[in-house]
Amino acid sequence: MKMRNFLLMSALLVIPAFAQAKPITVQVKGMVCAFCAQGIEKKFKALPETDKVSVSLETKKVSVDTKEGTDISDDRIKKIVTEAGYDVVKIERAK
Amino acid sequence: MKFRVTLLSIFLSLVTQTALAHPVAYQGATGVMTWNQPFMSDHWVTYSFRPNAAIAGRFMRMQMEDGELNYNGLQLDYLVKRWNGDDHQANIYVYGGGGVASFDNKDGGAYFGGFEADAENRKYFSLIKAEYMHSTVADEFSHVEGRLGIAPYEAEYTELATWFMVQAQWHPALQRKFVVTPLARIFYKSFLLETGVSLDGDWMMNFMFHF
Repeated sequence: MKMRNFLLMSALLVIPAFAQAKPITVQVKGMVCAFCAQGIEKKFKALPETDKVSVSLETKKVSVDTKEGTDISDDRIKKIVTEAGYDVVKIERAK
Repeated sequence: MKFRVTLLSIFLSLVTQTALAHPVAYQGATGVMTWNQPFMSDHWVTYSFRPNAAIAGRFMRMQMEDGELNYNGLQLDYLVKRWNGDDHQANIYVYGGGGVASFDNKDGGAYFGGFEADAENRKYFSLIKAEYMHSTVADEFSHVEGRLGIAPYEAEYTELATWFMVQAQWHPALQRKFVVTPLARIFYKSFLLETGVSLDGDWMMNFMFHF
């Protein structure tokens, strides 16, 4: 019984850590106008892993919230940004 | 010499500073653009099949000195070079194609070529482009256009953006050879509208959107 409780408690602690959505922030070079940058938003929104996308021209950053338990690889992020016509400076993931 | 250096500096500053009416947009984008003035209309439907290339259908109406010239054609747009800076972007495009021109109740073959360079940041905008069309039914058409713009505020992605611009056009074969038009541009995300009146009273109404 003690062992079962211990396992249950451990699972309850560990599962949310895996399941939690991880916001991704992409620093983009050349993103200066909304008319052009909407390609980035559209491409990220089309991914099944994406929950929410926000774009800031002021900071030149694109923030992508992924759905629980999912992630988007750096390679895919770079491909999306490049196909939208921009360059990736860096990709950061919330810890 | 000073004058030449000044002209060169202006040209380089135009070339190295961008336009919204990019002949090539993001991969997979379809764009609809329409420019309208009393002496000329220019309508584009583009599909960007690569980040640096698009195919376009183009429909033009030009009021030549001795009649109206219409052109319907297909063209390939190519992004030659893009500079993505920390706070700016600049591009050079070329495009060319062929189609059918109609003039004075006659139809004939035509080919079209152009060059465009643009540069912008969130505050300033510049563009220069040159186009040439040869047809078997009318005089040659050439067109040189320059634009300078300033934004009264730096709009965020989710805000309505406003720009004030001056456009200068030179097209020796048209009834109206040199036209300077102050204009206002507003856009929100993928919808853009421009309107203005030239110094000689010609109206202008342009609209673009991407999807």
